[in-house]
Amino acid sequence: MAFGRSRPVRRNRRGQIELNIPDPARQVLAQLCRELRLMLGTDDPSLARLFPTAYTDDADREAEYQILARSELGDRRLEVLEIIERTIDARTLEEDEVKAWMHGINQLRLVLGTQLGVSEDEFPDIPEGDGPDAATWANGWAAYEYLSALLDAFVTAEDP
Amino acid sequence: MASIAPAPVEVEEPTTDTVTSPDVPWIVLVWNDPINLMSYVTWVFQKLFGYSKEKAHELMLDVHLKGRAVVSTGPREKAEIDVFHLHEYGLWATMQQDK
Repeated sequence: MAFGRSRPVRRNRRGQIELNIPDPARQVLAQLCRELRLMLGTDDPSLARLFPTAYTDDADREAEYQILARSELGDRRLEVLEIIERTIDARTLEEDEVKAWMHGINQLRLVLGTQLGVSEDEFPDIPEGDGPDAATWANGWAAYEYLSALLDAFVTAEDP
Repeated sequence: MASIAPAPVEVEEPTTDTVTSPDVPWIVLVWNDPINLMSYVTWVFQKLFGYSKEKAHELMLDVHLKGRAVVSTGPREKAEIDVFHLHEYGLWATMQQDK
């Protein structure tokens, strides 16, 4: 098994985070970032996990928090996607870029997971047949699983 | 737990006292969710709060097995900053007074 060498993310001897991600996977990642960037700012329900509730028992403070979250959190979410797109071909990442990649990848997982109906209890409902819905679902699921493995590799590289 | 549902709300005794008392500290809770990875959640707790790997792992397991864990306490302003950062990392965090 060549797991050690093919790890997608690792810390090299100089302490830098090195990306060993095939180009087609980079293109998919860039495409997902673009799509999410265009979706941010809309009221698409699959964004719900990006703007969670802070105050469960105080409606006024929650309303204030959501105003802050929608602007400031929204800006940061946009910014990390832009950083990934800008560094999509990079072989090594600076520390702040590492943080952006991890945040951005998890953002994509939260949105994809919501769209796919990922739940704790059961496997999500898969569209029946072999129509376009099923194909879209399968592509989404493949991307979700790949991003999960990628994020896990980042965590391992950050904290072996 | 359905993934699109809002974070579960604790059932509390009805109270007429809606004014929050400044002396009572606020607690920040992280809730179990079906999407965030266990390894990632542990890493976030280490990174954000400076917890040891053991402590962060323990908290993550509490979230995973008991459904939630208190990850920090303090005045409201500090709690809100913690919640904001947890949200930035993509975790399901809420805050309430520790009544």
